[in-house]
Order: sequence, then structure tokens, then C-alpha cells
Amino acid sequence: MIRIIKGAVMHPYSIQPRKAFWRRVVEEVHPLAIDTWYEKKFSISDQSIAAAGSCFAQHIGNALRSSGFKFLDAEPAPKFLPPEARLDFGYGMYSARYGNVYTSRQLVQLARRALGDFEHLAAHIWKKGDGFVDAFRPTIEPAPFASVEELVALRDSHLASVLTLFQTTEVFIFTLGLTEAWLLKQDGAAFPVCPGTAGGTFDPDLHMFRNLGYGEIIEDMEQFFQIMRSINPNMKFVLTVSPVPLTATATEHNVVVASSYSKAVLRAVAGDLAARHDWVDYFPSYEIISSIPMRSQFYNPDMRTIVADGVAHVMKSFFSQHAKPVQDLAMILAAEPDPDDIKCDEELLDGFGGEN
Amino acid sequence: MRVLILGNSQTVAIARGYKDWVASGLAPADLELDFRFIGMGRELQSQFYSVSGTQFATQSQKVVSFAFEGGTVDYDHVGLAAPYFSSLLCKDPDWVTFGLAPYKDGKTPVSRHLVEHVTRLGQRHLLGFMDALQAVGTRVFAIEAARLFRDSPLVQRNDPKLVARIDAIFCQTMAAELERRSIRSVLVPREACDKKGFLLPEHQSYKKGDTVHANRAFGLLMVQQICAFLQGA
Repeated sequence: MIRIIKGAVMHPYSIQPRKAFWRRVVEEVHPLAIDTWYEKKFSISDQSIAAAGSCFAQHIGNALRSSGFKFLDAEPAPKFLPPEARLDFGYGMYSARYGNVYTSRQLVQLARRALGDFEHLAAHIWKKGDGFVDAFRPTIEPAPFASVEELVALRDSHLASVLTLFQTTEVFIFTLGLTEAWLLKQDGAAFPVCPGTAGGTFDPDLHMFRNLGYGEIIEDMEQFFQIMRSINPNMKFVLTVSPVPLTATATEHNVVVASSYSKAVLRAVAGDLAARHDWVDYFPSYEIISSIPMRSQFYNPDMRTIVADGVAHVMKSFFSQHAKPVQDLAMILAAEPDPDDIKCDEELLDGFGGEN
Repeated sequence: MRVLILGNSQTVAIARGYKDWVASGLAPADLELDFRFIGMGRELQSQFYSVSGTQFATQSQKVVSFAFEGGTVDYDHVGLAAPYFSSLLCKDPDWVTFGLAPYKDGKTPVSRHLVEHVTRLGQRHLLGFMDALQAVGTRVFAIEAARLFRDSPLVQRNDPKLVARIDAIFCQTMAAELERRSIRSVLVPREACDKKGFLLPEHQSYKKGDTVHANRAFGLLMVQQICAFLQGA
């Protein structure tokens, strides 16, 4: 579109705000002073919020919880479990004890399982040592369950709590983490980790690797939205993409190349879903940490995990748009759990990585 | 043989039983028991002691400090009457809403492993104290000082069936921890308990309203158990 105003030729860029120009945003501004990362699409301040996602999502949940938002916890820890042990047992990790939900396939299946729309199979229970683990959350406790009966009782209670959570959620925050998924061939069940790494045994006749593509993830997410909005028609969603690269890839590619693919797909999905729906927002935690202007300053020496300052910087951008109900940032950070204190099953891959 | 018995308030009944036994003239002449209170149950769940060489001291101002001059010289054995004290966990008010998987009692289930973990965390300072005693050559043993009372209002509130299960896990966990340290235990005789392991009414405190402590007759029973154990040790 070209407009002529008082004889001057105008073009679309001439009416763009400062934030639209690299020079204005990057060259003329210190990276930490960039303050135009995000503009909220809707308010979440007085809403009941639930969160899930890859391990970076734990930071978001912790920050929301400690800053006075109505952050839901459908499975609070018993008080007799000391606070320092709660995370080890999956309490306070997210809004229920589902553990890390890395992929869109896991997320939609979690919703279906909570609704009783996904049949329980024996192959969803993995043997580990003398006990058993729930293949959908194999590291939810530090040791395997003593019996299948114990596992089933805890699983059923957990899924009932997840359903209650979904019934009370007004805003669901999901951090997309991975495209690489491990599935059970029999029913397509998506597990958070490869069978054999945290229990069970990998069997190529039973299990399959799938690097989910853009179309599949869009379909998963749309199905998830549909399920959630059938429970609460006014539910809103905030999507983020984890800036944490893959620990390992099961593709034939270099892990950096595979990670780049994975993040690109997830970022495209999140952006397109936000563009498609008024009730879906995208928060750019991925860009705030990993984009070129940030010079990788928020990564630990492993160039993968995020330093505490990075998490604080991400949340500062978030809270610049979503006013905290109480406290200032210093108080939030003081009250927040140690940012390094998160549980990441993906790390398990390090212990099973090849030496070649 | 000189033996030091250390523990929480549960130790008092055993001390009284010993006093009665000595007064009756039936106690073995070659056995001398000393008793020291080292802290209330909850105090023993924190760092309640300090060690400097072979010197041990309790931290709480409420409790009597004790010290072993030269390590094992003072006593032939040290008995701890607190490792099996499950009361704090079993009577926790959160057991009103939480239950133990896989039992279906309408409560939110937790795993057996969680109870084991809570047990170890709660008793870690006590176990560390026993480790420290052993490290300076002290011969240590454990004493089960009492059992829970079925008619305790807190046991009734949490459900005696559930409490019995939690108590069993607690005791099994501690027995394994003690066995791993080669520490032997003097347990409450089965005949002093009902089928679920609750202490029979005749062994309970004579004080009305005390639903925690055993009486001196039970203390005498236990001190005789301790004596038999030491004679075989």
C-alpha cells in the first residue's frame, strides 16, 4: 500500500513503529534495554493459570506462582514431605504432576487421557529395576513404584486431578520444547523420553521415533485447543518456545542442526496459532534468550542451559505486560525457587549418549 | 557393664522402669544404665548435636549436654530410644486428605517410596548421630521405646488402618537403615501390641489424656528386653 500525504510518497515501512527496525531495536540499544519484545494480546492477571511444557516452562510457573498470580496446583504436595524434596516427587513442578511435556503429541494425549479418551495399555507401564514406572511420566518420582497396582492408583488419581485442573483453568501456558518424539506403534502413545532411558526397554518392533512436522504439531495443538475449549469455551492460551536446545537428537543430523530445525518448526507453529486465534498469544521467551542480539549471554558454558539472570530477564519482559498482582521484581526473585532447581528428564539422554 | 540410653520423652518410661527394677533388687548387679534426654521428637529432626573429636554435645538448651571423654571409655554401649518414633509422621494432619497407594480409601494417594523418603529425611540427623557415635568406636544399638495408641484422637482422625500402614513402612525403613549400619534393635514385644501393632491399653501412660507415652510397667518390660539383649551382645 502506498499513500500520498501532502505530496510526500509514503510506504508501509514509513508508518511502522520503532520496534519494527533492526537499527532502532538492536544497533542503537543495549541488548538488556530492548523493551519491545512483547505486547500482550489479552490480560491474564486475574485469571486462573495452568502451565505445562518442557523444562524451561518450570521457570515460568515458578515466577507466576511466587509473584501472586492465580497459578493453579491441582496436586499440591503433602505438608509432611519437606519442601526441599517436593520437586523430586514432581510436586510444584507444574500445575499437576504430569512432569515435562516436551511435545504437542504428549500434550494432546494428556488431555485425552484425563478425559478417559485414551485407553490404558500394559505397554504404558515400564519395568525399572524391581519396580514399575508410568511411561507417560517415568521420572515423576525418584524411585519406581513398588507394584503395578500402586502405579495405577497414583496414575488414576493424577489423571482425575488433571481433569479438575482443566475444568478450572482460564489461561493455559504451554512451552513447546521438542519435535522429536518416541511413540508406541500400537496406539501412537507419545512418551517424554525414549524407552530404555528411564525405564522399560527399547524395542524397535514396539517403539518408533518420529520427528513431528509442522502440520502434525498444528493438528495436535488444534485438537488440544478443541478439547480444552470444550471444557471451558473461554479458555485462552499463551504459547512459548523453549530456548533450550536439544540434549541429543535421534535424527541423522548434527545436534545443532537438528535443534535448529526443531525450534524453527515450533516457533512457526506458535506464531501461526497465535495469528490464527484471538485467544492464543505468543510470548517470545525463545527470542529473548536465543536471538542474535542477545549474544548467547544467557547460556551457561554448556551453551544449552539458561542462567538465572536469563530467566529473570525473560520474566521481566513478561511482567512488563502482565502486571503482577503483588510485589516488585526483587521480591519475586527473592521468593522464587532457585532457577537452577528444575527437573529435566532430557538430561537423561546425556547418560545414554553415544561416545562416537 | 555401663550403658547409656539416649532418647526423646519416650525414654522416660524406660528410665522409670529401670528405677523400679533396681529398687526391687531384681536388676542385675553388673548392669548400670544411665539415661539422658537429648531432645523432643521434633528437635531430633534437626541438627541437634555437634561432634568435636570424641566429644558429643547436644545443641538444644533444653537438653542436658553429654560428652564421652575419650570415646568409648565411659560406656560399653549406647542405646538410642528414638529411631522408631513414627508418631510425628503418622499423626500429621495431612493424612486426613492423603492416603497410601494402592489402598482405595477416597484419599489422594502417595507412594510407599514417598513415605520411605520422608522417614529417612526426618530421621537423618538421628542416623547421622548414630554414625558419628560408631565412627569413634561406640557400640550403638536402637530401642523401640513405645508404639502408637489406637485410641489416640490423632490416630483415630487419620484412620487407624492407614496409620498402621504408615507406621509399618516407617519402621521397616528404619530397620533397614539400622541394619545397613550393623546396628541391632531392641523391639517392643509383639504381645504388648494388638494385631495392627498398636500398644495395648495396659502399657499406656497412667496420665489421663496422655496418648503418646508408655507407663513405667511397660518401661520395666523394655528394660528387661534391653538387659537380655545386652547379655547376648
